[in-house]
Amino acid sequence: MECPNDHILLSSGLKGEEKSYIFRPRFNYSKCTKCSLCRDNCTENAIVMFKEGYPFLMPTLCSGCKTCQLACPSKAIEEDRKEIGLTYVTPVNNNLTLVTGVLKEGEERSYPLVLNTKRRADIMDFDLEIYDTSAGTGNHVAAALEDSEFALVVTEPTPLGIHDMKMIMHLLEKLNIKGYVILNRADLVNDEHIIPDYEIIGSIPLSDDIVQSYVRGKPVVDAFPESDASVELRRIMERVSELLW
Amino acid sequence: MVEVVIASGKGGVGKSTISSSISALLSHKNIGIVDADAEAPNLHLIFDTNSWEEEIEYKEKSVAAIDYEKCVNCSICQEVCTYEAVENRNGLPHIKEYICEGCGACKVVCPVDAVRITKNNLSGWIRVGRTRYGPFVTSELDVGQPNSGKLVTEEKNIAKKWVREGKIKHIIVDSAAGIGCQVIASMSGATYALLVAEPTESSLSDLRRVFYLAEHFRTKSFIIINKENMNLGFNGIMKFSEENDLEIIGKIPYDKTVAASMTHKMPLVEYDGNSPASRSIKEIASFLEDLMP
Amino acid sequence: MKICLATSGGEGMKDNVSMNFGRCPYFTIVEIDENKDLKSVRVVQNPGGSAGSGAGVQAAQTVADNECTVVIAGAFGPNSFQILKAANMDVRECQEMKVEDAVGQYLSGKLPASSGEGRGPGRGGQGRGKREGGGPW
Repeated sequence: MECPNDHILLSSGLKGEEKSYIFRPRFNYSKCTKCSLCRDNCTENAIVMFKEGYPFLMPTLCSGCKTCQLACPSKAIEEDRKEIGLTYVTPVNNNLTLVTGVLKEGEERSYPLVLNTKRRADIMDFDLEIYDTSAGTGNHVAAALEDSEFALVVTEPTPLGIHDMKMIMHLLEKLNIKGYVILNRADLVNDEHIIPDYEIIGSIPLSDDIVQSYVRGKPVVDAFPESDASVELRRIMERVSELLW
Repeated sequence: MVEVVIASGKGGVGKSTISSSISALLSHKNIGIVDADAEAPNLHLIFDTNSWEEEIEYKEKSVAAIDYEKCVNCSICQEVCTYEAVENRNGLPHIKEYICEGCGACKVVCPVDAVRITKNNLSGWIRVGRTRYGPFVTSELDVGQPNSGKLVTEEKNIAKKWVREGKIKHIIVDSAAGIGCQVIASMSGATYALLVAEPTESSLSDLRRVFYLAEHFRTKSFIIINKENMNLGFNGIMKFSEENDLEIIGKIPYDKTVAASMTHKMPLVEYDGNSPASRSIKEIASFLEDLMP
Repeated sequence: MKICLATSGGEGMKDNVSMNFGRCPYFTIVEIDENKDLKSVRVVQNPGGSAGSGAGVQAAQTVADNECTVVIAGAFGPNSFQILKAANMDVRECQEMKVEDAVGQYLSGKLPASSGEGRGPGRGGQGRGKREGGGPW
């Protein structure tokens, strides 16, 4: 969402652009009775009211939750919308379609866009959906993971990587999704003990081929099919296929 | 007292590598260190700090909770939730806590008053410890919890108390990631801001945002370009610095040693003081040293 | 005239002005009469001090609710500055000093007005836009 790059590696560009919106309130001052319920119910503190005055919005703080509209007893809050980003549907080849969300610059909340992107993917009725999530464990990641058969958790065997991996595993437990680990840059290991007891289904070696393929804008398996990294990636793919079917 | 904040907008551009190394290089200046990046705290891993003198529970999270004694299963809550955080489970509405942000839309519409917004649930921990370079405060958020301005302010207040008590003279803050309240709180009150960017469009756009906030607080800003040799054709940051009369105080080259230093749980400058990135960071630190009385 | 000062503690005139408006723990509200004499001093809590997000909004709302016309703090965040300006308040910045000294400096015209905007980028940015809604207050 924040810096999508799958389309660069798949050399497909981005097609089928659609704007993505969230709700934002528009106050109809001819109906407003200044009761302040909209402000009092706004948990983001995005609505301000001065004495004797009408409410007004701090747009950067508004999350688009509609609570103000639902709380307004005089129907004085009308539906306006705010653009939060773009979604794309790009056919890569006969068997592969790429669905992408691009968050608007300066927009902090990516969750609503993940939801909209997922909806666009869902209506296409694919046989298999693969989600590339963003980093972290917030609800923007949970939304992407939800309803998955299983998750592949990619990490580096460094203290930082392991720390983040444990957080993701914790989230997967809450979602009741099984997580399998893929170690990237696996040769960084200098202490076997730091890797917790999860099922590891692949170990991708440190490889200049990966960096080179990235620079060329191609998946490493296409740019350097004979590379150690590509061999391991194909092996992982076979394992994933077994898990799926 | 000088407060230096190291900020970048979104994470992953090398903020922690730089913060940890600068802390190591300036420890003789009597510093306290604050890791305000609570969504991905990692200075304690680089400093290899495992024991804490104090651990404070941080409570803020709000989520909706349904009272099933009252619920009449009308499913209006499910209809109004823009987050799609309410699902039907065995014929009853169920709140998905890892999605819910506690906005209260469901509470407002519930005809039988069966929804409560529970506030002040545990959302993380503030931890106080020691490093070889000075006293240290960090925080960790529970899974799925967003960072907040309040959490950052509480962390910084602990370090400010150390200054008042004479325990330290200066504060180094590894800023929260993002562009919202938590960054405003990281920036507020800082003397100098080191704005870290990579030579890419998206990093430049983050740089603009954090610079805007720094200006708002009249914090003097400097730019550090990380992995500057990764995209030599890109001159957007140079242009930005000229337009805004901002000094670029460091250009750090891409350096494989950085990853190795992390596996060894050491600030880069201590793991290999002569690596190319280390040499650049040392220049940045000596520049800062002259600004610290 | 009511002057609101962001303060670090709840000790009134002897307290220090807080360097941070939105998240200061207390406001000290000082009322001055036409002869520039002190009429009253009141301390109120700042709900923004403990807000997860939107601290500046809550702080500014509190100042407006207390009918102050002048606000003094070390610095103002983008959100609070926007609201204080929308409420037509006189927003002033000062260095760290006692409340009584800050009031004295204000009355003798020595405190600079907050420009609030800095030299930031010429687009977007929190708090930069004009007020929303456009209706009467």
